[in-house]
Amino acid sequence: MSPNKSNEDKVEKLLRKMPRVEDNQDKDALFSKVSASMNKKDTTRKKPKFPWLIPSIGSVVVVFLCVLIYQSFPSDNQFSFERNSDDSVQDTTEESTDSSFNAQMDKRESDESGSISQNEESAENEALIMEGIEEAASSKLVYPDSNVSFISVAVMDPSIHYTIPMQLVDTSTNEADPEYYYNQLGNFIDEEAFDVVIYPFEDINFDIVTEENEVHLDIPNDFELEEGSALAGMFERILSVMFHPNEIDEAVLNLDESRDSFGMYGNIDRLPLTKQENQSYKIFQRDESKPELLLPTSTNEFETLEEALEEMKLSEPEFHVEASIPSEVELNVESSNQLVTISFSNSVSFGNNQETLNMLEAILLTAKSFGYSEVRFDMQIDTVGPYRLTDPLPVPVGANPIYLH
Amino acid sequence: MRAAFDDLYDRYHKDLFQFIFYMVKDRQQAEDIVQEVYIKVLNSYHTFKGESSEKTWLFSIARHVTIDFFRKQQRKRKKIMDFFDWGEKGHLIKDEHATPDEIAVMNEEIRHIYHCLDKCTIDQKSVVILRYIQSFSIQETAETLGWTVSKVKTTQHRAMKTLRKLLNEGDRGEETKIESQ
Repeated sequence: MSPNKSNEDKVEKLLRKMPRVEDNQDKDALFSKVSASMNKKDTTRKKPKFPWLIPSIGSVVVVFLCVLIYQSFPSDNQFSFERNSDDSVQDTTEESTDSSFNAQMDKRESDESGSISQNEESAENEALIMEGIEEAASSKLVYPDSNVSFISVAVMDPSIHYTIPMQLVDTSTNEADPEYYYNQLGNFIDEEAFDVVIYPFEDINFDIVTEENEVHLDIPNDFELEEGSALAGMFERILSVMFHPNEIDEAVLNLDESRDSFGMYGNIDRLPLTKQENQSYKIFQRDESKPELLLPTSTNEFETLEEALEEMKLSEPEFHVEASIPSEVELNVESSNQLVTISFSNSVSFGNNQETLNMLEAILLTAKSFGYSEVRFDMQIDTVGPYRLTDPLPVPVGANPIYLH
Repeated sequence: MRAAFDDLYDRYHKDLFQFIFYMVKDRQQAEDIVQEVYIKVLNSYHTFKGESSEKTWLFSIARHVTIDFFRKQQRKRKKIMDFFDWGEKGHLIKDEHATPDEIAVMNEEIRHIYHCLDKCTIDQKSVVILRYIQSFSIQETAETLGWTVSKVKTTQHRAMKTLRKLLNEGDRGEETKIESQ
């Protein structure tokens, strides 16, 4: 018998010899405590004194939110995201956007002055609200929320060139077990809907050992990493993107004893996972019918945020990746500790629209990867999507959320 | 309600208490948790569909309540550590319980393995207790933990590896002590 086997038997024998530990509480006393606690909980669940109070407050909040939504879609919808390098054309554009903005403001003022009858006014306001909602720019970021669980996952673009980080947001609990999601990614990410590819982990079982900052992978015998293949190259990157945000810095590979190597990695049983730093985020969209996703196109390639922001002005049509910052924009970057201030040149007019929101969110993610915790945007407008630009914006938890209920 | 309590108590109480005790290693805490388990079980007794056995259902509730207890304890400890700003060395402050009488009278090796259980992860500890102390089958353990059979096997394998290593280290420590005497 091998020494290991005999040792295991010894451990097993010792465990089986553990003494019985009995409860000294009396059965009736225990039942009394249990039923007393149950009754107490029942009484605390009694009907509220004013059952109408919560629905009423709810209704007031809804009305308030409607007013707020209406106000947060200012008429600068027509304030477009113009990209012009020619100054003379730019001047004209600025004038026209300004005038359309003023015109819209004027329209609002006249509405408010009551020159239109009440019914007409409310109908028009309703139309405005609907218009606003339809055209509202949608955010691709998630921020801390103690009521939900975030699970960092990653997919690939169909050409297996880039990794795309995503966040599964389980709104039903704030204590979700991440292994549950990692072990069945395909059930939570619709590849077709996003036009992305899930790494074929298939029968690999993930076991997260938080205390050791490790993720253990039980690798079945038929799982191979073909040397030189795109998928083999992605293996470590995908694991890093998924697990490193949760401070898991090593993957332990549990291979069958009969295997003496693991594809291109050779004879290893541990794979260090790398922190995803100094990235530059752009926009991925294969087809207009699919949602846009924010993806990092470079990691650890640039030393400064300025360099990464310059990179973000370049599109990569061969990979269906769009620049997130217009090429004509000149940026000035100033940092102080964890705060970075980004000022935009006046040659481009920004509006409260999806393109500007994409740019801000790509910059927030890029700044986060350079270690900043807040970004102040110094541009001509005060509101973009859900953000008020008058104060510094905190960097997010992650990007590209998929909400699970 | 009394009838349901009596039935569960008579059939499973000894095992249930023992499982919780080995998980938390504190009699008072085990008593509090077992009480909470009965409250949860009796509140949801009518919803038990019989898809798993009553035993594995009861133990899976016990495990969840115990894990909740660990989480609460961890949060409490974190708050205290933040308050006193013990910083990076905070994790070294151990929460040691006195060795219970039942264990104290056992031989050195058993006492040693009892303490080694704390070096396993919660998952590994659950599997070891269910499989070897409670004598659950692999299938029953899988049902209790809501895992696949293969995950139980892997976790059990890792736990035994950890315990074996710790036991060897303990043996080596003893040998060195004898040699130096």
